[in-house]
Amino acid sequence: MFLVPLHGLGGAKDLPIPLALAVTGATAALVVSFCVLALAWRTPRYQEVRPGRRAPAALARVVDSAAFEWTLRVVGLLFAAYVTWALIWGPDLVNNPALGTFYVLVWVGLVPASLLFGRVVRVFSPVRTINLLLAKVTGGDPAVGLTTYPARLGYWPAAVGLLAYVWQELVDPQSAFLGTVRVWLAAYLAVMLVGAAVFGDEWFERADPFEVYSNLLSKLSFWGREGDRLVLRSPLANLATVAPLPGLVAVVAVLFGSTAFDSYKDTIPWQQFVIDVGLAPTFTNTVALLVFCLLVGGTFTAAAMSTGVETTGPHAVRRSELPNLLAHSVIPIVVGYMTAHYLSYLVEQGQVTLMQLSDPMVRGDNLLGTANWSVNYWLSFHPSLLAVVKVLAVIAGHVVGVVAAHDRALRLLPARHHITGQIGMLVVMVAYTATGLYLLMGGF
Amino acid sequence: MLRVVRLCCTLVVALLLLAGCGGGASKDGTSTKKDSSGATTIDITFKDGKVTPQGAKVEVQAGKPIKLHIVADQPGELHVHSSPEHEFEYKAGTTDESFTIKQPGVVDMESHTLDKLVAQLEVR
Repeated sequence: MFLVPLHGLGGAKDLPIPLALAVTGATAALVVSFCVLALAWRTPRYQEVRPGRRAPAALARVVDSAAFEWTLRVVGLLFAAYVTWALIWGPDLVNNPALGTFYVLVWVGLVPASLLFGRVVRVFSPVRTINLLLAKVTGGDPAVGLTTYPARLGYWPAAVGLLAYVWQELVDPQSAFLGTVRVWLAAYLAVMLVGAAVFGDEWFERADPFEVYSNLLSKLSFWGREGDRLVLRSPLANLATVAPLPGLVAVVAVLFGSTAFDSYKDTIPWQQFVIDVGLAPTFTNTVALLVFCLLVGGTFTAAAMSTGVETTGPHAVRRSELPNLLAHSVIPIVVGYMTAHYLSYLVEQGQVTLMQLSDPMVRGDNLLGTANWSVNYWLSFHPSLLAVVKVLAVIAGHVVGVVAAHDRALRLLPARHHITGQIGMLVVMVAYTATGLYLLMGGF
Repeated sequence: MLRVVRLCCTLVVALLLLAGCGGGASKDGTSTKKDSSGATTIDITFKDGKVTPQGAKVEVQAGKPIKLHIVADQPGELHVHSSPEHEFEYKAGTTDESFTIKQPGVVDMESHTLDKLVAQLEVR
């Protein structure tokens, strides 16, 4: 008998972080923020894309070789095929590895993978590979579709895709059953391939929720590209190269808002509220998820625009453009909070999934030799250490975010607004971090 | 600059207040007993399709027995989502169960029959 929890995958959650630690963290965030504002550099450091350091020639040669590219593509495709086998022909049990792969290895695992290695989804993506193969078979060019991708759509399709993913993960009451995952992935595959046929493979960079998420996170890695050349850059310089396309605020708002909602929905007051309000829980939770994302997007937009700007001259910028031009600074905050929220889940549920992957039909096989591992719960057995790591991750993300926003503000704002123009943004970031810590405290 | 400092102070105070107000006592009508050996007993009552407690927060000790004293008017199933999971079937009448959770964390105990959260166990 296998148990399907009401709340998706995974057993125990982390203990709430202690109050003292949360207050210390929030205070530190506040102090650091205003120190950055008052004491940090006064001329932008990451204004133009600074030339990165060339990656070692041997490394660049390997990474850019067709053999390497196709090895990764084949690995990605084989892994996808293996998991599809479990997804379609495996039993609908909570220990079917398709579930853990979808919710843990792919979604959470892409965070550390992208931070370490750069644009990982792009190189492994099975939908990209299928599109390439289709183009090869039909003799077309995978980059060319029926029409060009409209620039004004920017990242909006990805924001919608990410919202669809977090809804499936956090709201769908059937999230731990294979049926809904099958439907979700079938829709994903269809939208990706049709989109690529219409717009060419630029579609993946703008609409694939996994690829867009991974590409944004890769801006905090050391890896970058200048033209076709592989370069090494400091993460802060790399972060400044995020393209401020339309919809970027929506993407970061969905990523951040949904993680906050995930913490919040497990609190007893919220669960009680869902019962008391008497509507269908799915509806109430959907509304709450949207409210969280809209709150993040709305407060960020308002804060970014709460400044004077130059309306004429070489440094003129439209106030309405500011949110997207500053949105890259939310990415480190998202990473800090994802780390805090998912660290033990990735480590422990990740191990469980790796074991389950040996037994895709859930009948006692050991195809990959991992079935007999035992899960190491070391992190959970050290809750104080875990709590400190979580708070440090949140603070680190906050500091990098504040620095990135500060640097960009120096470029965008006229000198007379350099200090005052940043206050709105700082207040919002401190509010995000304090709310994040409050939710990690269990939210009461 | 002075304005920045003042804003800074206001925010610190606001944060501290927020954090301080947060620690309210829970009111859930739970009947739990802790004995000197560290074992916790939780009384659970199922009556007329309702469960008491519902959505309670219960602190228990890692590695120490957690005893459930279940009084029910109809048989049903109770799930404890720890790793490994625990599952209890109870009958109409009184059922006593005991289990332990080794690993610290927050664990949901849910009535499978009613699809409701009975308690969150804070395993410390």
